[in-house]
Amino acid sequence: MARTSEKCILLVEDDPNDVFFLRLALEQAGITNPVRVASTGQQAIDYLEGNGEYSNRDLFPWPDLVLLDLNLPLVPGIHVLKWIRSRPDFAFLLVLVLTSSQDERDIEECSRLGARSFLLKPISQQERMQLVRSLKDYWLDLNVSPIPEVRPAERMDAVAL
Amino acid sequence: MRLNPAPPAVSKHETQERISAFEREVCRLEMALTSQKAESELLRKKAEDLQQSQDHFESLFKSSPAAQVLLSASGFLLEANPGARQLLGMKQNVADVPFTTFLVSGQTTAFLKHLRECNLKKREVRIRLNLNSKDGPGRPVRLLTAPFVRHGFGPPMFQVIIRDDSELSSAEARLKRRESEDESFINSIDGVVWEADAQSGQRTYISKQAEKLFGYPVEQWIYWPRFWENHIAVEDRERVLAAFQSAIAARQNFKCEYRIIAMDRTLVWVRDSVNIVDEEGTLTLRGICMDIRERKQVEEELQRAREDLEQRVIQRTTELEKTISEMHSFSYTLSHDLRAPLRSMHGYSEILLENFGDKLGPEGTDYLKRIMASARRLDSLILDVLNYSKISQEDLQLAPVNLDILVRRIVEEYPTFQAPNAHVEIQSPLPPVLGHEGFLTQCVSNLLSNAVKYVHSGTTPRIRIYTRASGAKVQVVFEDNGIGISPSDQRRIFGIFQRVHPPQDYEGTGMGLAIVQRATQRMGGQAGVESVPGKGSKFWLEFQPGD
Repeated sequence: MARTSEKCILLVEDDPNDVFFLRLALEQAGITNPVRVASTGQQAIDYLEGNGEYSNRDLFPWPDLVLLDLNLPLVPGIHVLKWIRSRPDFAFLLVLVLTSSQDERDIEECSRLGARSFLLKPISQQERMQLVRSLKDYWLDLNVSPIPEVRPAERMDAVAL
Repeated sequence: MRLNPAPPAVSKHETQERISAFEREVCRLEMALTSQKAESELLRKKAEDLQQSQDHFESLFKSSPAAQVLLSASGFLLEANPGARQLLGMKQNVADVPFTTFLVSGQTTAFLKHLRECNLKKREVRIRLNLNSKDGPGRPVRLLTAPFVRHGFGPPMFQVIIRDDSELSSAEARLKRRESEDESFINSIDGVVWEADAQSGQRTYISKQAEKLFGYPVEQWIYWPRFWENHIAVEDRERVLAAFQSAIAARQNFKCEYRIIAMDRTLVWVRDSVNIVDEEGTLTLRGICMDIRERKQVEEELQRAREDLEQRVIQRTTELEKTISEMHSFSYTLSHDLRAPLRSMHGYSEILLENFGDKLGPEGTDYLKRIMASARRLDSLILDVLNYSKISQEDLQLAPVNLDILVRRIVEEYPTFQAPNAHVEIQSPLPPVLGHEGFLTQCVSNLLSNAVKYVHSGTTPRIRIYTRASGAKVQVVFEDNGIGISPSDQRRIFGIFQRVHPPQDYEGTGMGLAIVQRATQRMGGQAGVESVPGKGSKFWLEFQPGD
């Protein structure tokens, strides 16, 4: 089992500013976990599927936590959630929604589609730091996740060997 | 036997023989005579009987109150009883006159045919004729003619009983007149009166109105088989026949609306009101068929108008739904795309302030702080607008809300509403109201926020929450010791983006009271304010009671 500091975070976010602020917040909070970014919904799906360059799991490790924005170009966040939901082998994937929407329908639908949390993007850096710290503390350190028997991408690696 | 010239001597024995033979002959003759006598007695008796019955007939003939005549085989008058003489207007018993002289001209053939018929059938036959009379039309009579033979032999004759029909006829005429009056009465009804056999549906009567309404002559309805059935509009036929059948089965009068194919091929809308009459097991239908074309036309126009309206409602609804969906995507854009740059402005300013603050100096730091404050203000403005549109659009289910618990919980949750920051006094208990918990929470917290915000600096906010009666409704009052609102501003403050004070004096988006009013209206209530500048304000919310 990977040490908690090695657990990978996949950030699905199209706004480079938000990516910048979040990386900064993680850094300021002293969190050193690897962070990978998918800037579109399709990229997120490709990453999880291990398509193309994402088949290299050394460079693009299987994420232990996905932070998903809803307002993404072309393939929206809700669609990504639905896609994950349709894959029984991704049942244990930990997906948290991090968005600026307060729409009750979004909150309801995300929860129904298996998102574990629905978080609002903070406006200040201070709040952002607090947020990433509690995320790390709870979901990566405190929370005990089940380990899927075979991860899809690893299975592919096994065949290659 | 031998012939002797001299009588031969007769012996005693021979003489004896001759006597006994003679005696036997006498006896035989006597017997024959007796039987002859008996026969003639029988005949005499028979003749007497005949005479008696003839007398009986004669006396009956003469004394009968009914007019009777005897006619010869060729129709000549032989005898007439007093009744007949009176009826025929005879002074005395005139004989050998043809009976036809007593009849109105033109009836001779019929009368002779009648006699022939009687002769052929050998039994009584009847006929209606008219007697000759000087004034007016002939008197109607009925003849009952039977073959007759006097004394059991003799020539064949006719015995005719004449019955005066004029009394009966006038009754019949009255009836006829009455019927024709009924008929004209029926025909004056603005509807077709009809009668039909329940089993076959065949019309047995239909009033003249049918010709006017449908064009077909009355006879067609009655004599043509299945005429009615075949002239129900095809689309209605099955339904109408089923309705008739089930009504007949249930013996229940009913009404039915359908179309009849008229002679000019147009469809005539009718309303048939049908009564089922049970006359000793024979079911008859009697109905009135009314023309309802005008009504149907109005109905159709109404229907068209309704459909038109419906179509327009659908169209408007679609347009509205499109607008709402556009509003929704606009809200989405507001919350995502407009807030993202604000987050960046705020975020970079924050980093700048933190990492390069010492190089900017106090003035530069102040500018940066202003940029951040503006970004925050714009963000809360966006959130308020979203909130307002959400309150305007959301589907709402009203229910009784425990206002007492709701208000106390809000006060407990926010330190700004608690001592020493503020003093809030709540009437105990506040009554339940009809509303929506989320909307009510929004209203109460907005009013309380205003009450603690808009006070002269240095004054501790004091708020009193209580209810007062307003007809059948409940008015919740939030009384404060704030700066108050001038009468000219009192209406304005409930509009969106309305601010009375500059932001540097009192922070705010100008949306708080607009949200309060919109939410209260959505809950079927009202919001208002009473205030004197410098003497505090009384904001009130009015609701339907929740119990």
